[in-house]
Amino acid sequence: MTWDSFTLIAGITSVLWIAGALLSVFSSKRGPAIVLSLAGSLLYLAFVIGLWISLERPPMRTMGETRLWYSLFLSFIGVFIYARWHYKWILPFSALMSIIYAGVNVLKPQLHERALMPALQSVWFVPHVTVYMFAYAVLGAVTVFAVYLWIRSARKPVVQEEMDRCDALVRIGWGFLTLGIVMGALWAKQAWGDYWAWDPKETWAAVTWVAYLLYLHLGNRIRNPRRAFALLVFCFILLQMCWWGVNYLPSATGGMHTY
Amino acid sequence: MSFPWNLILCLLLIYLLIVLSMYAGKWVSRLIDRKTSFAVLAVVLVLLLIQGFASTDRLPHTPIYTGALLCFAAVLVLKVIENIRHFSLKRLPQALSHGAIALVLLAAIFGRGDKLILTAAVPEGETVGMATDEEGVPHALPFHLMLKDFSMETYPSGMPKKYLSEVVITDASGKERPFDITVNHPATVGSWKIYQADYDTEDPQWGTVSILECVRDPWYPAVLIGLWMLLIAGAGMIVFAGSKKKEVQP
Repeated sequence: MTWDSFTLIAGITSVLWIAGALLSVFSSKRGPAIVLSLAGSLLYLAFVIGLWISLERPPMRTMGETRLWYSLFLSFIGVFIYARWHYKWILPFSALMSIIYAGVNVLKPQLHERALMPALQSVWFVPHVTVYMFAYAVLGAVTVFAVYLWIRSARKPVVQEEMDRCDALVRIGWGFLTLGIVMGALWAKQAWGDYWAWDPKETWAAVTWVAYLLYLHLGNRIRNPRRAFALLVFCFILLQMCWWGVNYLPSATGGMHTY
Repeated sequence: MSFPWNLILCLLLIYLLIVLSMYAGKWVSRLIDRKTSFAVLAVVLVLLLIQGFASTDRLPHTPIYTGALLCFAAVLVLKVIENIRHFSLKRLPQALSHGAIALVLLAAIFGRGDKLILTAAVPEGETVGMATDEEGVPHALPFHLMLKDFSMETYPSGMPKKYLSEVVITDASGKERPFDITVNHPATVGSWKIYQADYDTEDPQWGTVSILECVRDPWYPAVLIGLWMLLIAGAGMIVFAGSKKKEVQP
């Protein structure tokens, strides 16, 4: 499977995700929504695997390729949260975000070639990118959750259980960020001779990592939930900066992470 | 600052922090409560943000930056001591993270003086025994390196695919050993590692001068232990994320 068939696959997947999202809102049964959303995610997964085989390398190098994984993980996490805690709003949001990222790939296909430069030919490549994309997807989901609770807090106060759920998702996301940053350090030592070089991407990864740590050390989250949610949104903006915003910074030119 | 003074100062700092937490418990508990932790992290975040927008990598080596990171490390060490004294299995991932980050920071800050990152541009067929650091100061290497052959492969698009330096290294005892050095696969000679960094692009006989990086970082084992502790801590955070924990408020 190659990028040529992406528009078709992304189209079918989007229809399945939208159908699942609509069912989750308007139907009282959860089964059909989960089945349709999962079918969409599995089709997307099949495309990613097919692309991996046809490229003869993991599709994780370009920004476009990392967006594939982001959409994929986000859709799975959305289904998981819906199946586990039955929030009616999660599937529409996760579907919307996944479709936006798939849509960016349809409209702005990036360089799709087989080449993998020497530094990327490492055992650390796949786990490093995978855990990062997973972290980004979890933290994307928690941002959606936080914004939802923030808006809803005007009508109905946030309860401890919801705050705990939010914290748990942040802890999972931070855990994956940690795995990603440490794997990156171990890999950098292997490839470039030093585990930390203040490369712009590295610095922004540290910024994101410390920002979520700040959230985890914020006291009395339940007494002042809006402050907590504002901090989470701020963290997510920093995360976007780390993921792609850094490429537009003048300091990033010549960075070792510009692909 | 280099060995042994960096090690002595590092151990002295840890010793002082232990003494401090044993005899000034009340004062220390305020240093590691939630508010102070938050404030310290906020300062670190601001410093990192400044670095994120700055287009220089010299900033992290300024005394203020180093001092702030050292304070961060000191607070973390105090926190680790507290985590050990009031041990709780439920907070193990957190305690492990504190310890791991403290270890990595201390080894990185105090070990900086002992770290040597040298580069040598080696033409094919020649032998080098010197390499220069980032400031251009030459250093003698404890071995001689002879480049037998440098080869590069490219993709049809022109993107590099593989750089390979076939070298023979003669160590101080006169023993000769061959190595194939490629990106991601450095050679190890005693406490040194030799990396394929680049090749001389301005060389008229294109692709015959290999640029090798010789690195000696005696504090890296400590960093490595810290990094693996952090990997375990990160995995622990993920696995135990949902379990309810009691807030420990000193």
